[in-house]
Amino acid sequence: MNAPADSQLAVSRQGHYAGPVTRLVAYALDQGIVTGIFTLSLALLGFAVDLVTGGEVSLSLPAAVLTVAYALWWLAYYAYPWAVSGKTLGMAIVGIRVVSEDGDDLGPKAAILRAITLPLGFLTLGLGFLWALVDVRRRALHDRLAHSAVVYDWDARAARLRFLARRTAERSGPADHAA
Amino acid sequence: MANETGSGGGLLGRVTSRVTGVIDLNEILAGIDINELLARIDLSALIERLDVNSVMEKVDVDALIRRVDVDDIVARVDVDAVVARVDVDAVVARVDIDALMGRVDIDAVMERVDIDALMGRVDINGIVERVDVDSLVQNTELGGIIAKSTSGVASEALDAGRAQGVGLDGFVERWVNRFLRRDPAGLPVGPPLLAPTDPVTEQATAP
Repeated sequence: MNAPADSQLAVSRQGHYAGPVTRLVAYALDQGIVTGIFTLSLALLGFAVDLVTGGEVSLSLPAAVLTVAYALWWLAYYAYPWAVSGKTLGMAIVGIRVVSEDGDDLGPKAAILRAITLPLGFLTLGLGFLWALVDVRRRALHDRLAHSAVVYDWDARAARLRFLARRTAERSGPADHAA
Repeated sequence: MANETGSGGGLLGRVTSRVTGVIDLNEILAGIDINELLARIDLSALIERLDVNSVMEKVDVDALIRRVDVDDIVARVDVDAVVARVDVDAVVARVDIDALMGRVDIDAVMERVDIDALMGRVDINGIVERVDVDSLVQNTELGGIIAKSTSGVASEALDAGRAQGVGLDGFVERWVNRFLRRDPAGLPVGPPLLAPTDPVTEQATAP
């Protein structure tokens, strides 16, 4: 690990407003996961139908049905984890969490509202997302509508201790082998 | 013999009574220089002839002590002056601590200690804050234990990736603040329940 990473590990940002890069990476991961799982599910469903019918019937759903199914799956993928734990899988990987404006848990209603209003960021040509850059509390458009905020959730202090422990183990490792 | 003694005693008594009636003993005693008299007495020889143990056996020490007002005596003692004359270091040097501790029943003492009350008076957070955890991890077996329990490549990559993300977040925010001419110190760092009200940025403690 290089020096900049080391110095960053020393700063505990747990509970601080998350920055744009981390949030963008989390969103990209989540989009990959939500779309990947949907595509994989459709492929498995088509394979199952093909297997059951012996290839006589092929699964071809109308675009409208696929769109509605994807939208519902998308909504569930985001809203449910936000309501339960405040973080999707992508957010958990990068170490951020959604909370209410005052820092409390988000709650089901706000989680659903946030998931519904998230696409507004695209409908406003990205301005809804860019709002997070200029807002003093780093809130995007859907955050303001759902009265939510995104904060760092990973324990940087513990990460630093893990880093120091690994470095110590690496240094003592060769000596142990030599002994 | 008894009559002689009785008649002799009676005569002596009458003579003595007659003499004391004539002589004024107070006047004689007033003429005696008591100090001169005492100076001529060898008190040491007198005391040597005295059977002190026999005298002490006849003394009711308990009754004597009961008549002593100890509080009054203690009140008249200048304790500070007494203590000032005591060489405490010399006294302590003569104490055999090991022997002393050997006579102490630690278990009995501990049973009488109210641990909850004691711990209630201890500022645990203050003690923990004084511990240099970084040094502890680097210089003790604790580091090895942590390393073994978290030695996964995924864990290491996750820590590094997150740290890089935080670094890039800070880079972007610095430029945005510069563009908007905002003072970063005046911005809230987090929601009220999760971050301090004062926008104080934590300082890096990297070595």
